Amino acid sequence: MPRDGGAPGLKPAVFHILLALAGRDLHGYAAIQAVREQSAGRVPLNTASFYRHLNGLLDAGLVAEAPRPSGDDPRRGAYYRTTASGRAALAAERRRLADLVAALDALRPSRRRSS
Amino acid sequence: MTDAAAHRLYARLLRLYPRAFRDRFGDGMAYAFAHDLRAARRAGRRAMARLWLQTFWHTGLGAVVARWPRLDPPVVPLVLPSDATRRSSMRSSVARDLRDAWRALRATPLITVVAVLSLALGIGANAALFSIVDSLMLRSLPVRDPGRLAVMDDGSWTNPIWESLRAREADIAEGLFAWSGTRFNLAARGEADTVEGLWVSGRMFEVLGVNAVLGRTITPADDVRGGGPDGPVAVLGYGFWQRRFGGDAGVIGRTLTIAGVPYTIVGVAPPEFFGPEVGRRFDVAIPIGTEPLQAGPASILDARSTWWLEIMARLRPGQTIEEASARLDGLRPVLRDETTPQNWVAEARARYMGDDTTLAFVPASGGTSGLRSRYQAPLLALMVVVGLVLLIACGNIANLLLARATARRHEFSVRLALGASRWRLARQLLAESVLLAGAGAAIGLAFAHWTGPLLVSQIARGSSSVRLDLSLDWRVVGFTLGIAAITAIVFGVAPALGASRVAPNDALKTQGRGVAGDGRFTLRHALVVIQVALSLALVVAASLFSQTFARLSTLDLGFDEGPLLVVNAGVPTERVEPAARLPLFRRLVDAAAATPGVASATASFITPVSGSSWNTQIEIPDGPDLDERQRLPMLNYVLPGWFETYGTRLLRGRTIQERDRPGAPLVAVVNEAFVQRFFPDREPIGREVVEPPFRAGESAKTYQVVGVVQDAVYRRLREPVPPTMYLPMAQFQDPPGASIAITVRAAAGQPARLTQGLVAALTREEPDLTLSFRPLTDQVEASLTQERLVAMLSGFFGLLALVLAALGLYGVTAYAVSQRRRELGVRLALGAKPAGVVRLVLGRVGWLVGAGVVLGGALSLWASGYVGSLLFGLPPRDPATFVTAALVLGIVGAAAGWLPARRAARLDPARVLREG
Repeated sequence: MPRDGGAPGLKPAVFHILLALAGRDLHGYAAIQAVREQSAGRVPLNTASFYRHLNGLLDAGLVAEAPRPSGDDPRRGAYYRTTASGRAALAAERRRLADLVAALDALRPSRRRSS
Repeated sequence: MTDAAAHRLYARLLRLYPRAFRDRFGDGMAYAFAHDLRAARRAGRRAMARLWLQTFWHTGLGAVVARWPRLDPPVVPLVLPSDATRRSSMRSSVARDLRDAWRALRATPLITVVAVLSLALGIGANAALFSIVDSLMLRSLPVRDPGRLAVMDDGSWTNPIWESLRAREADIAEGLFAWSGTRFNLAARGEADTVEGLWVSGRMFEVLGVNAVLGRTITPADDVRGGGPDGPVAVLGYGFWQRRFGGDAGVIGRTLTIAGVPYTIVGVAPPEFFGPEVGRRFDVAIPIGTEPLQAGPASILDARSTWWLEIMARLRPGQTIEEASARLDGLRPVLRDETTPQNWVAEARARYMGDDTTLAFVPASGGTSGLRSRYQAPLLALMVVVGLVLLIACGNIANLLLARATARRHEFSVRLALGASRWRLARQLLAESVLLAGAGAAIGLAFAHWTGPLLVSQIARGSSSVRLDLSLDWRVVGFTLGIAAITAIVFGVAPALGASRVAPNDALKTQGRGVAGDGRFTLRHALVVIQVALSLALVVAASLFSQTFARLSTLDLGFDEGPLLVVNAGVPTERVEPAARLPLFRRLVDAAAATPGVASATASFITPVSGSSWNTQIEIPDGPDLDERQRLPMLNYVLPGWFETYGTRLLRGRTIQERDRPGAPLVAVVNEAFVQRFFPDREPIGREVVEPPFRAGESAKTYQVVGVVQDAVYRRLREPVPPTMYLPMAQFQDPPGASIAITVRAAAGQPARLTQGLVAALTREEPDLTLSFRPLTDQVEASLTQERLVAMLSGFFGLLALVLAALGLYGVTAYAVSQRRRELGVRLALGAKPAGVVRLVLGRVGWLVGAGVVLGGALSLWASGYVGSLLFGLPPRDPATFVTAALVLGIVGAAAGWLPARRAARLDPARVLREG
């Protein structure tokens, strides 16, 4: 558990941003596109909300600026990647969701099946 | 929009962000936007519109958050869902909360129904009373700019005063108008067809800013003596037009006969306009100038001592009420010159409009209302009562929810362990409260909609002319929503707080293993104590008001009203000269007495409890030293046989008889109160009462007291019987009015059944009479409307409060017993007697009730000081009432505690211990 007492999880948009930047360095627009793709459009990320979350993630140290590839179009802005603690947060979220599903299955099997 | 323009616009949007943010992300954002824009342009107009909409919204939001980061919850770890920032997620989570709440409420239907019903009663009662308070006290007149209206203080004015002010209208304010509410008889003959009438001055509609919905309103040209160019004209009230004429537009130009005079209908007032007085609704408005057509030589337009008009002003924009008042008061010398009644004695003339009088305006944005002043105190008292009932209901529901929350600790701790936030649990409990309160408010509003008119109809028993606009306006709906919201918070927060104290590892324990008592749930106990205290206060109030009503309705009136029927007979003024009226009255009384089923008949100018009164200044030679105000006994002129018909006992001397005719010595019969005030410890029979002259040129009248009768109610039941003089009608020296109150005594059965026979008998005597009938019991009951209403409602709410408090006590005790099953089982297993267990449980109940009674007693003692004026015949701190109320609560409390106590005593220790 990430926190004593069971903290609520990450927001879907935040989760997806961390995920998108986990394996590779991306500039802003590429990250936005990655989120849109990996969530199959279920997280319709607007530029402004992406940068809002990004700002928060940078402040929290879960994401860091990555070096820009040489010869890249400077208009694209900076590149970013998920840090080690960002990956830890992702892992915790994964565990939390798995626990939740397991607990629900154990508690109310009938309800699960019916829905 | 070209791409360049779009980019310029976006660049401008980015300026909303703080500089640091822009420097850091500006390039990337512009780049991303450019790509989205290109994609949207390819996808079509809709995508374009969506892009812009989202860009505006999220950029605005992002800029706000970037400036005030505290608004945005930290990205990780998140404590709260980002409600403030994401509309869609908020909507869905609210929907989820409500859905969960609905499920939870449905799981315990009994608790839910009880809670919703008590809330509906509480909220409904509040809304119903508030709608009356609103229409009577808070609403503005439905006219243009009501804030600039002011009414001349205080009371009524004569027409000469009005005409003199009208001539100087422009010196005082933007406009002035005068009116007088009355009843008009539309029937040419026979049984009267009375409607609510309004005498109005020419500019009333114009000054108020009210336009006709059909035809035209009354204008200054109509308001001239004898009628304007169109002759006498009338404007109909909207409701009357609908009722009488079915909303027929062809009514304009038709004729309406008012008091025998034909009026031409020229217009219909708008539906929302009821006239300048709240609580009345006019049916027909006619110009003041047409009064002489109806009254003939008895016209009061030039009467300088007939006070019948009320005067209202519209201030100029920016003009203060003080300034208008100063201008008005400045006209006092002029008024004195022009309108002093010349026939008054010099002393009275000197006081008229003298320096100790001040003329002033008072604000009238809400109109004026006799009803308002009469019902203000009782309405406010009832408002407090229903507020307390709602509070008790809230207490109950808080307790129910607390009990439920405690029963659901297990559920909550499981959910906590699964990662639900405390905030979410609290939110769900709040959602349950909101659902309960919402359902309660909805049913309550319907309830109010239904009971409001019922209450008004109760008030209207007094005078059939009470018409209040109880339509739901924003204030009533807002009030209801407001109290619903407050109640939801009041009873929802406690359980929500309780839920947030649950620890997740409680889930690991099985439910209810604790052996401890219920000492930790002090909040529940406090709630019950407060409930008992408030209930006690309400029971005390209900008891005080009911006793007041009981005392008044069983009061010895000094006459037996049961078999009496009052017949008001109006004679046609143009046909019957004043001199011929007294003989006609005599003939009418004789005709009434000869009607089958009538035991006896008599007549008087005033009938008891009719609302009218008559007094006069007297002097007693060698009498006690009393000031002027105390020398104002009530007066009534009666025919011989009056006391016998009314059943008022003669105590000494004789009653008024046939020999007391004009020319014979003037005589008076007085009542006990009169004797007590004016002839204490002296023989009253044979003494003289002097009525000094009021008008110049008259001489003093000296009456000889010939009889003493028992005290009889004159005007109101509540006030002590005033000193009263009864004088023979035959010796009345002024020209009599055009109507007389005949009272008949039925030989048997309901007096109202005599109506038919009396109409026939009386119209045989004079075919053009107008008649109205009312049993005296009606008149007496109507005068008790206010007391009956207050007693009934406070009784009902007192009972409701008791039931709610009993439920609360029962709930708390039953819950405590269920929590202490193990402890009690152990006690029983160790040899405790069932009686001991009952004592144990009841002891706690007794403690709660005792504390509540002490608190409630103190509360009532303090509050009862405010209701003193509403009581009759008992002190507000009547000890018997207080003791009885405390006993009633004790008994109810014992009953509420007895059931769970008995269940506790019957516990099977073996089973309880096995379960544990």
